[in-house]
Parts: sequence; structure tokens; C-alpha cells
Amino acid sequence: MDAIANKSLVVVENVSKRFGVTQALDDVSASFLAGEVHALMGENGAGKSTLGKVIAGLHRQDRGTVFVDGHELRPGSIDDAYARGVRIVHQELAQCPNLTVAENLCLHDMPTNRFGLIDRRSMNERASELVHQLEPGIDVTRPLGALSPGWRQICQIAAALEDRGENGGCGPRVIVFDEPTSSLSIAEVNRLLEIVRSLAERGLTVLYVSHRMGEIFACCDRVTVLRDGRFVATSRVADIDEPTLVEQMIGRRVAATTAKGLSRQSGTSHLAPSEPSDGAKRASGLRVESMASPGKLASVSFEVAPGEVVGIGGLVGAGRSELLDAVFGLDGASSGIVEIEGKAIPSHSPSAAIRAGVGYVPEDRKQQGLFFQLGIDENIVAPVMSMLASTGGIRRRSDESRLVDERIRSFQVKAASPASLPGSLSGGNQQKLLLARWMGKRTRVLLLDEPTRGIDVGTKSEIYKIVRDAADKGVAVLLVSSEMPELLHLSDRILVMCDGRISGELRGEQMTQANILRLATMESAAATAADC
Amino acid sequence: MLVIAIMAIALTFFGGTKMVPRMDPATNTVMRDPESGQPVRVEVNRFLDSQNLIQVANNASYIAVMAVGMTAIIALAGIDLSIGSIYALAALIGAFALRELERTTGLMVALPVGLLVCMGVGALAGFVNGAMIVGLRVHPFIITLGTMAIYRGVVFVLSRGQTVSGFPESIQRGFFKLSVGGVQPVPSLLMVVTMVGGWFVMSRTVIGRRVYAIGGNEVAARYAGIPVGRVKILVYTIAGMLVGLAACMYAGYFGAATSDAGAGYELRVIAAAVIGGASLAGGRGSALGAALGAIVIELINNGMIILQVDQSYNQIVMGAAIVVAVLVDQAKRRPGRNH
Repeated sequence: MDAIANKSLVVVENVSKRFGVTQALDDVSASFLAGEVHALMGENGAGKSTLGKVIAGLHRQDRGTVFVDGHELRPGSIDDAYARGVRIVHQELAQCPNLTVAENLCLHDMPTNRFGLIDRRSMNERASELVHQLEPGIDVTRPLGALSPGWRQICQIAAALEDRGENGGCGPRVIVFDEPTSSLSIAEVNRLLEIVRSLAERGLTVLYVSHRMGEIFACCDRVTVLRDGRFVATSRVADIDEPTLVEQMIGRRVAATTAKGLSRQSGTSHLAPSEPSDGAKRASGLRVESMASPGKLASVSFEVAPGEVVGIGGLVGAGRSELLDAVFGLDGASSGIVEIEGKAIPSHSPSAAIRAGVGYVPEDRKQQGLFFQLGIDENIVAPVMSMLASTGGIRRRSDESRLVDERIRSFQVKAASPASLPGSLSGGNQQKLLLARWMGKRTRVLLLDEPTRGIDVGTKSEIYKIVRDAADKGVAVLLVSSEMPELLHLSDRILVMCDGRISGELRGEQMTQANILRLATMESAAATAADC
Repeated sequence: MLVIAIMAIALTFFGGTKMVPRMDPATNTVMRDPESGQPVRVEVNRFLDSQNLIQVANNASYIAVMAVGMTAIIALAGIDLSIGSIYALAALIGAFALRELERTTGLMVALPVGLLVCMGVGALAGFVNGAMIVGLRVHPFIITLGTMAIYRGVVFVLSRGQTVSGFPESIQRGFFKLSVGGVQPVPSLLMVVTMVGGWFVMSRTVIGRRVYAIGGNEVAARYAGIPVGRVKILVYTIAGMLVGLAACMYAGYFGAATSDAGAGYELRVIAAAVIGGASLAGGRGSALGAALGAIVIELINNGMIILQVDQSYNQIVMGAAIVVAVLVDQAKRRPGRNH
């Protein structure tokens, strides 16, 4: 950081943003200097991405202001942010893989000749000029989709660097990177970090949204930590160490002990599973051996005892949902053994898993869970309808409705009638509906993926009770959750995943947010550091 | 049920408007007279006359039977463009088999042979469609666009463009064209049986409900442990079998199979299913609606003849009816059940 570094280029004042029930940003203020790489860190859902998007005008904040070089940006206006020199590079940004690199870069303003036809030559020249300052190897006449993820990312950065003078705006001054390395290989990450540094040296402000420790220490000047949508601290990277940063991300030490107390409290009522030594003698509820899937999972093995709730911690992309999919037989490419109460599931298919007693509540209840054109009743009986049916597959409607009535009652799904459509239910009741689907005597193993996402607090505690009750009845529960307090509260034991493998197991006293986060970020941090 | 209600209203509407003019011109009675062979009676000339109704139903029955299968495919969020070709193929091979029999072969032999061969060919062709759609993971539109041409090509190769006839008397006069009290009820009865059977399977059996589940949300269906691929193949196979049944009805009724039979039927059948409330996005559709949709199409045909409108307008009215039916259905759609 040199002379220009003293000037705050971007100032964020009292910004708040709410999505439904989630307060993504809560009165956040921060400032970012010209010529620095400034990391925005936090856990999943801490609000770091949201802040980046608010600054770039992709999200419109509910309250608060963003200033760039003293000018107040119009909230939620990408154009205004762009005119002031704010650019964003993120994964979901619209790119057309079927068009060439040059076409992608010039999409907003294709150069034409005097007949109104596209002037390919000048288009390619303009694109090469942009791209080659970052990566001379890229051929701009190739389809974007044919490039490696790293090069595609570089093309995005090149697009962000373009100076579209015609709008009366200025050239790029602030670039927001939103988790830029999540799909890159280690070599590509290092190249990207070099580019990021070079941008800062040109005097640009780089906002670097990431949860990867290694990258932060490798290339950032300062770091701002957010937690639960609130500003925690801004520090110079040179002045801070990893444990302190982790502590900032997860909150006070006090918070960690409270959560542990909670989990132990709930753990005491389940003494049986806390003696894993006799698991060898008794048949375990769920045993997974060498579960692997190309590009997703690398030989994962673990056991869950009947009545035990095992949590799976880890960051987004660590392979947690992929593991549940594989256990349920949904991943056609997976290999490995899944045993339910000592008996191996004969084939990798969901129907075989269900027959063996596995139930699965997937992460996205709208896309993966519910049938919105069928009634609540059929949504509940869907997986067991064939088992209830008489020979020839003719439905036993009285048995079905008895089961549905009982489930709706015992799980308090608030519905007008069993025939009403799931779309008429609140999010919490939809989630209870999905849980109710699997709460039969047949279910011996329950796979839960983010069971309380986007649900109000009251329903949350109901769902916690449902999960605990199921465990008390001897069901082995495998729980994926990105919400630390939930994971700590419900789990008897926690497995932490990172890059498709289990990076550690935590029991009793060890179960703290700090430990989970350390195990969850360990691998990527180590890998990046080793490669630098 | 909502769909059926709409269809009933549509039927009354179409029927009503066409009834009045039919009663007026005396020419119609004169036309009818030689056919029935009865002396002219005063009250014959209504639209709701049994002769005319059965004729409409018979004409609709081929499309209706196929539309029941098509509805299941559409409810599955699939499509089958090849059914016109399957229809011709099944009829042709059925005709080959029937031609081999003695002209005097009894019904008890001729009918099972005809049905078995036609439905078997249809089921096989449908199975091939389904297996390719599932196995190759190609969109059903593409697969069946291909098999539409392939099956039709096979028909031309096998028949060399000739009409195949010379069946046992029993299958035509003795069954499909059997005359009872001056009307020929068999095709219509088969339509009713298929319709009721289709309704039962779609609403009262596991496989039927799985069709709606997959069509509504295929990802969720996988997560609920529904064997998606198997259900799809089965549905295409059953739909093909129903096409085979329609083909047998056609060959049996007319006593012949031509190589261009069923050309363009895919669109009429899809139209019937859609008029009957099936949603091309999947998850919705009913067997009753499909059959009623086929009847509506035939009523439009019939009505145009009765009204003595130039046949050229037929297609325009039909096309408009499809669009209107879908618009009305969309407007009236509330959270309701598939039945």
C-alpha cells in the first residue's frame, strides 16, 4: 500500500438488506481503499456476498448508502454502479458458452461495418486487447464453453476491466470478486491471485469475497469480517492470524461454549449412542464404506448408530449433499457399500434404499422435494404408495388416507384438507410435510439436508423435536446443516467434510464452531499455501 | 373434474348450435333415409339422433383411444410424435396376419389374432420409443420425430404402398362393424372401455400417480424413490399398445389397412389430449378429458358437415378450438386435483 492507499474509494454506510425471514445485512458500515485487495469474510450466510452485490448494484439495499469516490450510488442500479467504475466478477454472471470469447466480451456493443453487419475483425481485436493483458494464451475466436474454468474466469475479469467510455462513465475502479475460486484448480487459483494483485497495483480497489483462508493470507491487504449480517471488524492481514480470524467469523468464545452446553444437554438423554465402542458388536444403523464418486466424493466411510444424530459440517461445495445423494443411491457414478442395520443395500437406487429403510429430506424442497400439482396426501405417501398397494398396483385408498391423517396430525402440518396442494402451505409446513413423508415405522435411517432452511424460529424448534423424537425411536439420523448452532445443538457427533472427504470427526467437548470451521477450511487453505 | 365440466359445457355449446340448423333443412332427412332403410319418420333429423351420435362417436373412437395413451405421455412431460406411424404399422402387420387366415375363420380366432398382433406391434414400437428416450437421454420430441419417419418407412417397405385386405368376414361384420338395431356400437364401446380403464389406471393405481408425480417434478420423483426410467418406458409401451388397439379397430372396421393410414394423426391426438386438459409442461391431464377432447374434434368435423360449411374451413375452426380450449382451461384453472 502506497501513496494512493490512504484514500477511501468505496464507503458503505449503515447498509441493511433482508431476504424473506433472513436478515442478510444488518446496519453494515465499512470503507475500502484505492489500490488494496480487501477481503470480505464470513461463514455461509454471513452476508459477505450480499454486501458485494449491494455495492455492485445487483441487490437493492433496504437502508443505507454506498459511496464511490464521494458520489452516492443509486441503490440497486447496476448502470449507476457501472458508470462509477464498479464491476463484479461472479460465477453466475451471464455468459454464453456457445458464443466465442470475443462475442461474449462485445455482447453489449457489437462493432458493425457500414452495412450493419458484424465486423468480426475489429471485434476480435477489441477482445484480444482486453483479454491478452491478463492471459496472452487465450484465443478469442474460440467458443467460451471450450475454455477451462480458469480461463473463463479470466475472460470475465477482462470484461469487467473494459472501459466503456461512451456512457459518460469512468473506467473500472472497483472490482468485486464473488467466490472467484470455487470452481478452479489450484494452479488456476494461483494465476487468478496474481491477476488480483496486479489489479490492485494498478490502483484499483479489489473486494475479494471468499471463505478460503489460504487465499486471504496469500493476496489480501486488509480483511473485513461479517457475521450474521453484521460488521465484526476490519483488520490488516499482516496484523492478524488465522485463529483470531476464525474467532471473528464465528463469534465470541462464549457463544461456542453455550452451543456446546446445549448439545451436551440434549446428548445426556441419549446415552446409548454415546458409547460407540459396542457399535462393533451391535449392528449399526447406517454404515457407509468407501463411498466415492468421481469429482464429488473421495472414499468416505463412517457409521451412524441407531438413535444417534450425526451432523455433517463443512462449507458449501464440500460434498455434503453429494454424500447424502450417494447414500440414497441417486448418484449413478458412485461406488461404495451402504449397510442398513447390518444388511447391505443390494443396488444403488433410491427405491432399493427406501425398501431398506432410508428416508431422505433433500436440501431444496421446491425443486427436489414436493409435487406441487399433487395433493398433500399424495406428497406424503409418494414413496410408499407401491408398498401400500394391493397386487397389480391398485391403490388402497383407505390405508393411504389413514396413514396421511395420522402423519398430518402427529406432525401438525397445518393444511385446510389432505387434498389441498402443498403450494398453499407456509415454508415451515412444507418442510414438516416432507419430514412427515419419511416418519413411518419403516424408516431406520434418516438423511436430512438443511432441514430448517428459510423457516421461522417456531417451526424450527418443532422440527428439532421431530428429529430428536425420531432418534429416540432408534432411527439413525445423518444431518447436514450450514447453520452452526443447529448442527451443534442437534448432533451427538460431528463429521466435517472438505473437498469431498471427511477431514475430521468431533465429539463432546471438541464440538465447537471454531473446530468445525478449522476442519472445514483446512484442506483448501493448506493446499493453497503449499502451492504458493 | 374441472376439465370435464368445461368439456361438457363445450359439448353442449357446440351441440346446441348445430342442432338447430340440422332440424330445419329437409334435405338431411332425405340423405339419411336410404342408409337406415326405414321409411321416413318425422322426428329423425335431430342432431341428438342415435345414428348420428354413434357415427360421431365411432369416428372419434380411433383418436380417443390413442389420446388416452397420449395423455399419459403428456402428463409425464413427454410427447410421442410417432403414433400416426405406429398406427399404420400396427394396422399393416395386423392386416398381414389376418389375411393369412381363411376368409371363413371364426371370430373367436380372428379377433384374438388381430388384437394380439396389432397391440403387440404397437407395444413394441412404444417400448422402443421409451427405451431410447430413457436409455439415450434424448428429448422425446427428437426420438419420436425420428421413429415417426422410421416406422412410416417400414410401413412403405413392407406394404410397397399397397392396401392390404381380405380378412375373415367375422372380424369385420361379426365384431367391429357389427350392426345392432341399425347402429354399429363396437368402436364406441371400445372407446368407453379405454376411457374408463384409462381413468382407473391414472387415478387409482400406483403407476398412474407416479406418472403425475414425474411429470410435475421429475427431480422430486427421484428423491421420492420413484423408478423414473421404468415408469417412462412402461407408459410409452402402454400408449403404443393403445395405438395398436386403435389400429385394430380401424383395420377391422374398414376391412383393410393402407400404407398412409394415420398420417397426421399425431397432431389430432395431441390436440385431443390438450383440449381434454393435458398440460404439455407435464403433471396434468385426464383420460376422460382426452376422450372428450377427441369427441369435440369430431363434433367440430360433424358440425361443419351438418352446417354445410366448406370443408376447407374445417382446419381453421379446429385450430381455433384448440387455442380457445387451452385458454379457457388456463383461465379456469385453480388449485385442483387430477382426475
